[in-house]
Parts: sequence; C-alpha cells; structure tokens
Amino acid sequence: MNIFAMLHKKLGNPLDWPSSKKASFLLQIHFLEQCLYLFSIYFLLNSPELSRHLNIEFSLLHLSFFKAIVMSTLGVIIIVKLLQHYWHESSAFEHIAAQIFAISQVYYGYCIGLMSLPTGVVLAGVPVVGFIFFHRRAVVYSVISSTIAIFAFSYATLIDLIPYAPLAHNITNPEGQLDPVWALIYCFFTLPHLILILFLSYYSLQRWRQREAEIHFMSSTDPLTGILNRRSILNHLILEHENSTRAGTPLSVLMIDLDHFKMINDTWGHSTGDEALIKAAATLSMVVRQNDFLGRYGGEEFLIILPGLEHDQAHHLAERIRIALSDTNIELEAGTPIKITASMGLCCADPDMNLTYEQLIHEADKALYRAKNSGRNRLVVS
Amino acid sequence: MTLPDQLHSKYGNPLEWTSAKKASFLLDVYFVGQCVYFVSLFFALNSDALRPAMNLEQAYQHLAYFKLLLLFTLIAVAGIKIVSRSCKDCVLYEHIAAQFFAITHVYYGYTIGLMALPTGVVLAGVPVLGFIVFNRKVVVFSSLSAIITVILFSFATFKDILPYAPLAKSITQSNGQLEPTWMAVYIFFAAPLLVIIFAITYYVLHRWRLREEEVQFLSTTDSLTGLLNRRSIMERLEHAKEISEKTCQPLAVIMVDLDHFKQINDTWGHSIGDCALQSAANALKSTIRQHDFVGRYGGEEFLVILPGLEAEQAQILAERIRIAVADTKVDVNPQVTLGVTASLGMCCCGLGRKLSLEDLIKQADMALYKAKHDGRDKLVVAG
Repeated sequence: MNIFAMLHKKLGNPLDWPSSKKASFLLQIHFLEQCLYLFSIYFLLNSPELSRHLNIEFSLLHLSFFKAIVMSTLGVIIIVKLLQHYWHESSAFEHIAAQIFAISQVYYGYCIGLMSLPTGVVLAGVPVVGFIFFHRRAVVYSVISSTIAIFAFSYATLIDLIPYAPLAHNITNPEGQLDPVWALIYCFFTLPHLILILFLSYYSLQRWRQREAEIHFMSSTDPLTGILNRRSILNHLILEHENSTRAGTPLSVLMIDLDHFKMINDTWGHSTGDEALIKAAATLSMVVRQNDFLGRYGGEEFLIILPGLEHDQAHHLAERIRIALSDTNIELEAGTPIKITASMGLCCADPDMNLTYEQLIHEADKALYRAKNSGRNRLVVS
Repeated sequence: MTLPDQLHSKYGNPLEWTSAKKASFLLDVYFVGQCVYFVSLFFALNSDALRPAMNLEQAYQHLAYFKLLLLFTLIAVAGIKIVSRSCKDCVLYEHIAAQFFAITHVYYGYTIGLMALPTGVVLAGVPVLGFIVFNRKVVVFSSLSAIITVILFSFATFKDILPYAPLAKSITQSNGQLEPTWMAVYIFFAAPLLVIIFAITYYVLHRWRLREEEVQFLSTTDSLTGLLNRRSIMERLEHAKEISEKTCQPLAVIMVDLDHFKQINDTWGHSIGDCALQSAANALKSTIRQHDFVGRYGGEEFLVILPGLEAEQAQILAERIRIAVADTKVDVNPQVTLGVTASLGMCCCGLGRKLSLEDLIKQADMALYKAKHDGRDKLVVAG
C-alpha cells in the first residue's frame, strides 16, 4: 500500500470533508507553520553568529506578537473543534479560517520582507490549492483580504511609516548584494511551504481524478450484469460506426434476446431472472473478442458490436455465441437446472452500403424478430 | 452567455486537450509573457525615472539575451505547431515545453532577483496549475529542474560568480530599506502573474466540476425515461428508510408495473414500447409530491418512495398514480392510439410495522403480483 492509499484510508477524501474539517485542517497547518516561525526567531536570536543579521529591538517586539498570534490561533482551533458538533456544514468555518490564515501570513511575510520569495510562494500557491478543495468564495475573499493587506503594508513602508522587513538588520550588504544569511532564510521559509503546496495539490487532484473515474464507471456500466449499459454501448456504436466509415472496414451488430425470459421471471421469481441475466452476460463476455463491445440494450436484450469482421467471420462468431449461451444453465436450489437460450439478429454492414448506425440496429432488430418467429434459439442474418 | 461558456465553446475543455495543444498553449502564454518582459526592460532603459535604479551595463547585456530567448521561444512555438500536425500526439511535447518554460523562467527571475516576490509566485503557482491540466510527471520533472536551477543560480551568487539581480543597481537604499522603484517593479510583475494563475485555475476547475456533474447526472438517471435508475432509487430508498426510522415517520413504497408491456413491444415494436415507458414515467413524475422519489426499477417496473405518508394517505396518492397512468395514451399511428395501464403493489412501514429494506420491496412485489392476478390496472396494499 503506498502512502496515498494509506492517507486516504485514514483521512477520507479531502474533497468530501465537511466545512468544519477543512477549516480546522487549514488552521492546524497554519498553527504548525507558526510554531516553525516562532522557533526560528528564537533560534536566530540565540545564535551569536546569526543574531548580528537581526534587528534585535524589532525582533524582540515581534516575538511577543508572534506569541500572541500563536495563542489566538490555538484558541480558534479549539473553538472550531467545539462548534463543529453543532454546525457541521457551514461555510462560515472556511471563511473564518481562510481570513485568519491570509491576514496573519501577510503579517509574517511583512516581518521578513513582503517582496520576497516565501511571500510569493504562499500568495500564489495557497489560493490555487484552495480553489481545488475549499469553498471558492472563501478563497476569493481571503485573497482579496491578503492583497489589500499587502498593499497597505507596502504603502506604509513606502511612506516610511513602518520599516521594510523589520526583523532584518540589513537585507543587503554594502555592495547592494542580497545578504547571504537572508538569502538562506528566504530559502528556508520557502521550501516547507512549496513542498506542502505541491504535495497537497498533487494529492487532492489525484483523489479528484479517482472520484471522477468511479462515477464514470458507474455511469457507463449496467449495475446488475457489470457490462456496458444502453447509453454507453450506443456511444461505442456511434464511434465504431465513424471509424469503420473512415477506414473502410466492415462493422457487424448482433442483437441478442433471451428466450422465454418473462416466463423465467414469472415462474421462478425475479431473483432467478436476474441470475439468468448475470449468467448470460458472463457467458457473452467470455466469448466475444477483446476489441468487441458488449452491452445490455434492454431488459433481456444484449447488443454486441463486432468491428472489422467480414460477413462469414461475423456469422461464425455469432453462431459460436449462440451455442455458448445454449450451454449455459442456471442452477436452482431445488429441481433441475434451467437452460438459457437466445434468439439473435445479425447485421453486417460493408462501408459501401452507407447504413446509418440506427439502420444497423433496426436491421439487426428485424432479423431478431424473424429468429423469434421461426422458433427461437437461432441466428438470423439480415 | 457568460464568459466561461464562450471560452468553452471556442476552445473546448482544456482538460481534454491533446498534449501538443497543451504544450503550445503554455509556450504561447510564455511568449506573450516574454514580450512583456522585453518591452518592460526596453521601457525602463529609456525612462529617465527608472534608469537611475538600473545597472545599465548589465541591463544592455541582458537585453541581448532577452532578444535571443524571445526568438528561441518563437521558434519553439512554430516548431510544435508544425511538428504536431504530422507526428502522433505524445507527452514529449509537454515535457519539452515545460522544461523550456521552467529553466528559462528561472533565468528571468534571476535578472530581477531570485529571492523576490514574482519568482515565488511563479514557482508555486505554475506547478499547482500544471498538476490540474498537464501530465503530472511533466510537472514534477520541470519543477525539479526549476528548483535545481534556482539553487544553482543562488549558489553562484553566493560564491560571487554572478551578481544578485543584475538588472538592479541596488535593490535597497542606503538605510537598508527596499528601493521603492524595485518594490514597484516586483509588484508590477507579480500582480499580473497572480491574476493569470488564479483566472486559469478558476476556469479549469470550473470546467472540471461541470464535467463531473454531467457524469454524475448520467450515472444516476435512466437514459430512456429520465427517472432515477435502479441503483440510485435503491440508494434513495436506503436513505429514506434511515431517516424515517430516525424521525419515527412512516414510509410507503409502491411498485408499479405496466400491464401487457411485452405485448405492446411485440405487437408495435420497441420504439412504441419505449414511448409507452416514457409516457408512463412522465405520468408518475407529475403525480408524486416534491419530496417523493420515483425510479425505473426494471424493464417496465417503477419504484415510488413516499416518505412521511400514513397508509391511508399513501393509498390515496397511489390511487392517483394508477389513474394518472391509466389516463396516458400513446399514439401508434394516426388511426391507433394505445392506452397504458399499470398494476401497483404498495407496502407501508411505520411505527407499528418495522420491516427490513428487502422485506419492504418483497412485500410490495408480492402485492404487485396479487394486483396482476386480480385482473391488472389495480392497486393492492400489502399486509
């Protein structure tokens, strides 16, 4: 089992989480980030080598702000946890979490310089991931908030109201080059965010693709027999019909109707009828070739598309199918097994006959009726 | 028509584009971006206000590189358009376009400072967007290339082999504050990138959601009648049963089977049979209440779920359904009009009667058989 499967088993699909869970997930991640920031500033202040690059006075001031924000984030996390029992599904949770995240991240960005790499990574990456699995309005509003906050901070810096990157003693050295220590600090703060953003987007999109594939499977198969349903067998017929017209290859359509099915249903009940259908579908899917298409067309009707077979080859295969079906038995709990037979209508179209796909089906259907009328358990070619 | 719909009808769903089309879209956008970079640099060099903030010697040198890259991109754009016409579609197009984009974009970032806001925006935003639209391997490999290039450039800057932000004279003022001109430059480049990234993400995810909704709709409805299909009506029944048990509300289930349907099919053909099914389905749909459910259970069988109705009320509604179906007519040809009737079997469970899901269906089914035996076009209530 790979890590994605393990995560899925443990956490479920993040796309289907309730609002409150999404909100507390964001807040928890934000809390961890803040712990990292707090720890980093402690570390920098206590390292004699690195503290020279800090503006000590401002750093100590902002350290107390950091602590206050960490505490309030913790408070919000607890409140969300408590409230989620009452309102499970309210986008207000997401709005609040996203706004707190957006504005406090701008503040943290301001501390090390808003025009820097880490700010850019968070500013672009988080909303894009947010669009994938957060409430979209919450993302849009919080992006607006953070953009306004960035402009406000930048403007205040420009008019010398507040310093740029207050934690830094000087982000460039006297020659105008970026201070290597600050370059390193930028990289240090960029990396975890970047990795988290890329990982989360990869993971949530993978889950999304999987969910869509599941729905797609359900929409194209018949739940009882597991073969293609009417809609998708018709879609395949349309595609194959186009292909055969373009490539100039023959195309055959085989319509199959189980004999006396109504009687099976009425005599032994629906569950036996269902079993007959399942058995018949299983037999058919064993006999057809790999590139043929098999679908349930109606109640007890099946449709098989045989691309690329000449007239007599198709006839031969259809006859094999008929024999395979008549060899199929349904075991009953009591009494002798029931034999299944089917009547079949085959229509082989050469491309120069210029039949539409509806005509193909119609011809096969007419042949099927003749098979029914001439005694059942037989194949009629139109 | 809204803007997203217009875009859709013109360009199709970006998620379903071919590799070559995705690759050339990336290069097209990138080409426009590079033109903006080139014009900006040209403008900055000719503006009296901006010239003092620039390192002119370096700027002229990089202007030449910009031209070269622009030409290169143009060749790549044209190359992909030409090659993709004659060669088979493969993921290689995406790989080439993404690698080219990643590495040269790091170079552009380097000229204004790699540790700056615009670099971060591109470094995080583009790969995430790429994960949505592009082949995932392509995105992973090109992101790795970009990160390695960023580290290489930074290391070279560290070792004083390359200057940091060569276009800038100095990105800070003497007092250590960021140079206002460069702050404006950073915002100027970051803002449009952000807007583009957000807009494309929003649009592509919107299309994805629509596509999923369509498939979801197809997977829950019966294509002929437009009612719920067997799987989803059973899911609804399970759900309705859970709710009725939780809230102590009664629940009624009606099994509806069209009379002599096999005969209609055999006499008039499948298309008339289909018409009969559709008319009956419409009659059912228009008779039930807003919160009731109706689905196609089998060939000519329908299942109706009536939550919250006591046996007597349910019986009245079931009788209305029977009459509604019996009132339906199917025009076979100008001379012949076919009447459709149905037999109904109903089972109610409530406070007094606790039934399992299977028993509920079974009882309704047995009542239906009784209705069939009693002469059809009848309602029989189980129990």
